[in-house]
Amino acid sequence: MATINLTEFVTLESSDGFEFKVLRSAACLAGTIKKALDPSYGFREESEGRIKLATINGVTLEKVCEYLYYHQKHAEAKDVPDMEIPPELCLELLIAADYLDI
Amino acid sequence: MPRVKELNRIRSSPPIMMDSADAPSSPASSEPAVFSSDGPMESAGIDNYQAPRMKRKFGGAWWDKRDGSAHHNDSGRDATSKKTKLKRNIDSGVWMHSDDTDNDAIAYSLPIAPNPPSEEHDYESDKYDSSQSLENFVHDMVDDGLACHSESYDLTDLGLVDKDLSPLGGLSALIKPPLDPGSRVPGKEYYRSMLPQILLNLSKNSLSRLTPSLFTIEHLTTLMLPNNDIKELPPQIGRLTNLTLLDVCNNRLRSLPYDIIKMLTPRGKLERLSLMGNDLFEMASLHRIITLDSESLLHTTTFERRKAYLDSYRTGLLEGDSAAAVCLTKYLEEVEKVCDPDQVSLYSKISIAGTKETQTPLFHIGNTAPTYYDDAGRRLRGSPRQPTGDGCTADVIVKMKDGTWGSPSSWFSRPGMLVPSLFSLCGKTALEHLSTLETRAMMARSGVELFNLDRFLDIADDNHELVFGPFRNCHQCGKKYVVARAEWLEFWYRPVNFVPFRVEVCSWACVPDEVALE
Ligand SMILES: [Zn+2]
Repeated sequence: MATINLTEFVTLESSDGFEFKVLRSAACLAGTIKKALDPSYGFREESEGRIKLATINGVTLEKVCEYLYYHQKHAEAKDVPDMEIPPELCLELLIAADYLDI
Repeated sequence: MPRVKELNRIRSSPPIMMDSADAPSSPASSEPAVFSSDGPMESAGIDNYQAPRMKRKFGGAWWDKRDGSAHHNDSGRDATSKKTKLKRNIDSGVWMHSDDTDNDAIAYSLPIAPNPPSEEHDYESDKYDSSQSLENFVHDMVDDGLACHSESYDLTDLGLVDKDLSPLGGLSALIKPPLDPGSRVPGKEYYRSMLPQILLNLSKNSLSRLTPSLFTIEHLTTLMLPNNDIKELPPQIGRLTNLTLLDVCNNRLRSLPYDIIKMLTPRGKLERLSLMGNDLFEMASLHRIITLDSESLLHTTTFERRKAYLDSYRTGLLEGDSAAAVCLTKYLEEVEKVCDPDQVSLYSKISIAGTKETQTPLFHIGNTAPTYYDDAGRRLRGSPRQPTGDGCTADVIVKMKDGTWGSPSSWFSRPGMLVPSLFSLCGKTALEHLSTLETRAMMARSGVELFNLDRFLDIADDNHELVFGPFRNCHQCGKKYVVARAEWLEFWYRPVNFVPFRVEVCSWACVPDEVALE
């Protein structure tokens, strides 16, 4: 049981120490996270299932996680409603999105 | 009289104009107000103050006036004479070159500069120089036109540039003049719509991208833009839903925005679309269609016989170039869907089945394979290009009952990822609240340089050039977007042209299956 949980979820840690547990399948929609978790690259992140994102703060990372789930939920849909982006966060999110490739 | 000759030459091609003579402005019971634009200056003197004066009517009938000297010294007192009409067109202002020295055609192409109200004018030295005064002139013309309920505006050959047009937005306030029946019982003609039918003639200027306010004139029904420098029509043209005539001859258009499709009859009201003298994209091998037509198709009487002719033509073709037959087959298939085939000839109006009216038909023929772009507007590797260069023809895919013609040898399938990226969502949100300049400044302050964001903002700036804002509207779903994610050309048959329409969409999901799938 415990092993299943470990592989099903990954932990994303923000620059200011907040942790978010995210479904691995959703997290892997971000190219950068997927690479980091790819065993063939042999990063330490892979063994621990934990990724420290030193450039993204907690507030931004929470929104990033929301996006990952939004993306996963609508992956098969044809007519996808836009996700709301709080204007005050949009520049930080732009930087995060560019870094994470989402 | 050399100047008469000159005048006639310059004004030899009158645009289509409404007759302003029936406008009921003269029999009003009270004197019309005196505007600077009323009669010529000398007609407003003390001695004839009581004489009725006509308001200036733009687009009056000066071109059927062959007497070029009439504008010299006509007093404009005779409100019914043609001379008065002539006067009304060229009054109110300062001639570039004064009458006695003028032998110069330029004087007629830049006839009027506005007359500042409180200044003494030296007609000799008042050289027309600043572009500001052209905008003022347009502004005054709109004001006068509103005052006298003029529906017709002639701004031909004035050297206007795009920004000079901005006062034209004022015409959206125009209403028809109320008729005054006097003491008689009002007849039927007094109960009519107050909605005007506005005609705007902007021929022979230096317009290239027009101006946003132009597209707010809801009751614009005739828009003439021939002989300008327009490379691309703004999609906002689609807001002019009452347009019945659009003339864009002799510009530099390669294609039309897809927004025009829904304006054209029978879907919309746009009946006449004049496109001659543009360098529109053509379907590859289109010339063969023209050859085929002129030979005998037009003279073949019934649909069945045309089809038989076509079949024999097709079987006569080897697998090589059969574009002509394909386009005609597709055309006849489309015709068959909507109308009585016996009534149809390729170059004529058709009668839609079940109606008595004849309307110019509009049929989809084919389209190019779509180009797909990433978030930052880069073409996806392997995705086909749209035609661009001069004289470039478009490779068109035509889907018919018995198969598809013109499919490329390798088909680039639509990418699977249909959810908008976080990057584009954030970019869109940013530009809803900030200008591109502010966004750049804030990014610079943060010390982070994002190459993709720079491209994204560059595209937003490009959008500004065409649509006067950072956002465009998706041709498929209508949502606003910054970066088009796919584009293609659609060819529609509209007698007597195969017209290319450029379609751009906000996401890969907005490419319809008919276009996206092989
Ligand atoms: Zn769309």
